[in-house]
Amino acid sequence: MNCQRIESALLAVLDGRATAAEKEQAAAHIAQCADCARRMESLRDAWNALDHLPAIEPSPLFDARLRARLAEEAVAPRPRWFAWPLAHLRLVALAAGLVAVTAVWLSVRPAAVLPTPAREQSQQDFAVVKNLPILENYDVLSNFDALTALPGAQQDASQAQPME
Amino acid sequence: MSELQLSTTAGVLYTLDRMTTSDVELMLGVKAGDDACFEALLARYRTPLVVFLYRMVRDRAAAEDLAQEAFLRVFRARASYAPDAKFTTWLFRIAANLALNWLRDGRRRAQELSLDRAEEDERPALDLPDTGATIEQRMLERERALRIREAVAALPEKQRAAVLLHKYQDLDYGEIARILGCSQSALKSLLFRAYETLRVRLSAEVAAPGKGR
Ligand SMILES: [Zn+2]
Repeated sequence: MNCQRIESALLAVLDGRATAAEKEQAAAHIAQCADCARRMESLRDAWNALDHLPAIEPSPLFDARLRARLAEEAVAPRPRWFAWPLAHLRLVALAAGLVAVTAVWLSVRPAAVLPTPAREQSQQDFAVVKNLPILENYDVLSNFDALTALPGAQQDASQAQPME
Repeated sequence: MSELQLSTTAGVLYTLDRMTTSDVELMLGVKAGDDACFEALLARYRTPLVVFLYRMVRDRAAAEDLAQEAFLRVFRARASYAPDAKFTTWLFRIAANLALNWLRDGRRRAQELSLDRAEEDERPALDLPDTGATIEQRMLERERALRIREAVAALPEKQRAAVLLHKYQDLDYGEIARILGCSQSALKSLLFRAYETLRVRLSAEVAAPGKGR
């Protein structure tokens, strides 16, 4: 077997993913090829040296910046996700308005017509209840906005830098 | 509307044991509108992603910016997420593309300037463990780390990405090939060439083994 065709097996031995067949192939070749034996040895040294490649920790403001960017998208027209709670807020307002109007109307109207609007009203109430978690989401969004203010200046700086 | 109800269910489900929930389950939670699931994915991949990008672009601020962009893209694409591929394959594919594009665009910028800055930026960032070694030993360790970094940085970009994904991420050949958009055999030869280059560049470095620890 020539030296180039053994490379794939050598690589698999190097990273520890070699199958039994690959291990055998590599060992057999190395046993009768001094060049590849040396090559494998120094490949292993290089592989181990990579354990010492410097790393970094994300800055403590990483999450806050990401949330600020998510919140930015929420106010921008682009994403539908953060836009829909706001759209639904309008629905909630509409529902609440209808409830109020119905209540006024009911208080003015004679009791005979009650059944139909009562059902309507309960549906509207249900709509409000159903939309409550959206209001909670809205709170989360507002909090994201609060975070924008915190790292704002530095975030701008860090975003500007790579563009220099 | 139905998304909302799913989100509440998912919220209950995923707060049970978020540490052992699989990436796919978390991503399905994100898709269903559960912010906690996004937080969990963020906690899991924030550091690996920032480190990968830092080693690709060698600029701390840019690495964080690109990592945030990658998470933003995941979030934006959540509605169309389908659990047919490993989450990390998807995430690192986004990140690798961002890094390669950033580097390509950077070639039009004054490159030396940014490299100088990376150099300076990073001096305190070398997180060599304090093993109680002497000052000389630590200086040697540091010297060594810098040389390894230089050797990796000198690799062609795609080879560098391949090595970083192969050596440090728990990804198989098929997954890395998918991330880099090449065939498995092309990836293997890319990797082998990269390690060959590294072993030659580092041979002076590793010619004196047994030093350090
Ligand atoms: Zn050989």
